[in-house]
Amino acid sequence: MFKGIDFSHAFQPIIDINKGDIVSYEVLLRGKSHEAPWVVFNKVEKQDLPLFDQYNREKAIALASRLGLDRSINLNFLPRDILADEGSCLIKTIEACRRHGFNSKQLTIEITESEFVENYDALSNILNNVRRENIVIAIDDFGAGYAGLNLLASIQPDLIKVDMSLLRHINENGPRQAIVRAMSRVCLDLGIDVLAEGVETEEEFDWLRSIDISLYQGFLFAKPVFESLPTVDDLKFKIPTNSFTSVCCYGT
Amino acid sequence: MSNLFHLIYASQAVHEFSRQDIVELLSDVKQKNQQLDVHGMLLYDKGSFFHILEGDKEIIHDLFDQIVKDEKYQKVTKIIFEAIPKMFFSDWSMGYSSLSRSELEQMDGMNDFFVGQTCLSGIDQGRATKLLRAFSCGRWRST
Repeated sequence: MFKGIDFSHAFQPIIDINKGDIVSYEVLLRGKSHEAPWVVFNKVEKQDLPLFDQYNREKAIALASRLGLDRSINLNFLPRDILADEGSCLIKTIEACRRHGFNSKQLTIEITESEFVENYDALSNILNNVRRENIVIAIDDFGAGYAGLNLLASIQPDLIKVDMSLLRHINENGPRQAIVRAMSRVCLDLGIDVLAEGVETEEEFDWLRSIDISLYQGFLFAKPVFESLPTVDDLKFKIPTNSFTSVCCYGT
Repeated sequence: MSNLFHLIYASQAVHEFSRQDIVELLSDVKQKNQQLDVHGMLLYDKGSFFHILEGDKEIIHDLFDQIVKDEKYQKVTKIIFEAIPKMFFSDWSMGYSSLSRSELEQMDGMNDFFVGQTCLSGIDQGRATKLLRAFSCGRWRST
């Protein structure tokens, strides 16, 4: 039903500096001529958006497969997508991954809390059920909009992506440093990985690395690339070779 | 087993456990968990316990209820209770920080968490190992 809407995807690498490698790619919607996502969404009738979102995800998985993806893939979900029909779109996405030869462990679902979630319990139950499938559950844009501590208290994700607004110029901003340091400690206590997204400068990166954050995504390393999976050699900022891999970050 | 869960909690000993207390605890719990097909790891370090239990959801839930009521423990704090795709630990074992490597080798069911961590090799870098790492960094202790 969306045949008339021409769109494709761009891929932005996620880097683990402890591994010195790209570990995943976030898939981002683009128009066929590289237009921003909203240009595509404007062509979809409002009532069809949930169906389109799922069509978009499955098309992204097919493209990633054609491009020879051998890392993980990060796909975005709204809470309402997950809550609809008891999580059927999650199951469909996992099945699409399998059809294209990926195992479910390669799938990271990024939950963007762009609207208020009324039923955290239902969300938590659905996510707990799909944990059996071995997917990675992430909270996206953590610290922006509604995506905050309530969500973290209700669903313990495997990963949080700290919103870029908290990281901008963090190297010279005391309040942001205090917040991100505290978030990092919370995540250590709960067995959650922390990813810094939207990192743009070496100074921001150096500060984040100093508190042992190992996962990065942002223009410093690479912009999203249209219909292509950039490799380590394509990164604009080379992964520092002296990245430390200490396990004990904060003491008592 | 289709309804696999893990439950991870921290607690404090009401009275510091002696070496003999630990030996008795190891023997009791190991046998009980074998019968219930519960896997995981229990750590003890200077009055602080840290326990990962894997198994059937209801069995784990009931075990935890008993632990909460057990007067040997206080400040029992549930950290996580969630579904898991498979058992990550091959059996149930215990780590005790006061044992040397040679003492460890003589005690069936003790692992080397505090002196080498080969007990973690082959276990996925999932939530359980991340939390074990947090405990070894001093988290989830009241002292």
